[in-house]
Amino acid sequence: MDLRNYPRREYAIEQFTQARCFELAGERFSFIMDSGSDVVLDVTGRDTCAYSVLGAEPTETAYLCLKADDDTYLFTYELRDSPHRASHTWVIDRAQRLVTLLTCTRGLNPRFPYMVKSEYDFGAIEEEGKELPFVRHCFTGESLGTTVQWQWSTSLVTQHAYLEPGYYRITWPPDSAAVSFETFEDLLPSTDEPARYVKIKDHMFLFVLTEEHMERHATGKSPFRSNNMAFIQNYDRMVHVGRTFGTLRRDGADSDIFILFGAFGSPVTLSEEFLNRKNPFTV
Amino acid sequence: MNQTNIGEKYGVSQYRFPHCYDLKASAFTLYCGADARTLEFRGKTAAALDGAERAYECLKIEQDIYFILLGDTAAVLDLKEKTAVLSEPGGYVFASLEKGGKTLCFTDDAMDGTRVRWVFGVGRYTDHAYLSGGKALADWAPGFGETEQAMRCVHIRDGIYLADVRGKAPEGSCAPRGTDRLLLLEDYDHMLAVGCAMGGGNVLVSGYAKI
Repeated sequence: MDLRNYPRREYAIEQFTQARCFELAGERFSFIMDSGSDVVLDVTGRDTCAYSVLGAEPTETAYLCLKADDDTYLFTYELRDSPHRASHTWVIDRAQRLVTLLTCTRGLNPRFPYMVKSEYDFGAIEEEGKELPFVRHCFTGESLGTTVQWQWSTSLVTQHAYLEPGYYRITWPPDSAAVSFETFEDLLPSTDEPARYVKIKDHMFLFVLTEEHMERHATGKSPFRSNNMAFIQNYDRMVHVGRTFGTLRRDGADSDIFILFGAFGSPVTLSEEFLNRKNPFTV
Repeated sequence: MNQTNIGEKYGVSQYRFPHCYDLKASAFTLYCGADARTLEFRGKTAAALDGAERAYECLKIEQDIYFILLGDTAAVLDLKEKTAVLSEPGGYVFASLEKGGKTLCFTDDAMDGTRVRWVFGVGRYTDHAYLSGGKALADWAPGFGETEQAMRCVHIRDGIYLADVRGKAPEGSCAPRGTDRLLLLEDYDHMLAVGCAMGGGNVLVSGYAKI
């Protein structure tokens, strides 16, 4: 059989996602957070965990986990005890005993109920008999100036430019599947969207973007509503793993989205015009 | 600072997935005919095959399908279907993880007609065209021309195949010097592969398909 014609599933950004990681099953973590809201995370199985904030009763939920390198995990779940749809996404860095928590909540904006709000907290992993680390993961400008091409599937390629601390910019080559499902140019003056950059270690960053302008300025006219995409980018190996949380419009109906993704990177040179274009969303 | 790089220090293993430790502290009996073999994972890096301890590395291709390298032996474990394949220097062993359970076998023409490029890093890839009769055409980046090589195939599960292509990689190619075999566990749904370039030091690889 010519396996190029294998009847594979229809994928968007998730085709090249690595197989989920189960190796944390059975472990229990105590995260000491800089906000003071310490968290106990009990990984009760391959699919289930229980989280407890500030000593509250543990809440059971389903989780998804991927590895960014041998000792760094992206661990994510939807909250079951929140009045709004919300998720925790952890970067669990066992080598340095550090964590970053990204909390995303939908439904806090009265004008745009699909808008996703992001909050960050940094902390350390408590281990008996050991001092807590002094250092933390941190917001950074170290990856600014990066232009990178991400291959998400056999047909989907995007090109990112990380140019300023609060934003990122995206484009794609003409043969990418991205050309068929996007209408950015008709709806928005630019592809700039809010983003944050967190340094995990040398050559590894948590890059987080929120599709916000599409929701704010072109509400419901695109398949993309507000989504938060969190990537752990490993530039040592030029790969990333991540998850998206938000809302997607399919066949005229809005649906929740909460999936993992992954991609392979390569250097790319983008046009001066693209890189130097003013960000129309900032003064 | 632009963080991108071409991963020169990693060569063909640039895109290798993180090591998988799912199997640590687990042990399996591999039933093959009247024989029973044991495979025990004693930690993140130490395993024992038939009681003889050796270092191992593991990569995952699907939720329950593992590619394991133990020195010159490679193993594929499918924990869902309870099957195991061992590729040892002396040949292949097909086993079940359950007594009396099903075993896999060679399915050499199952990939016949497939032409695929497996990309293992920036500018690093191999081109394979799988032919009938246990043969394949193969080339390595940056491109030296296809040569006919011996090939064996095992159909592991729907869409997932173990391809064993044997032939020297050209001098100056992206393959580790001395590579004379590429053992790849290929997933034609996700279009991903994990495996090992052997002969030149046994280097684990992961990558994606271009078709």
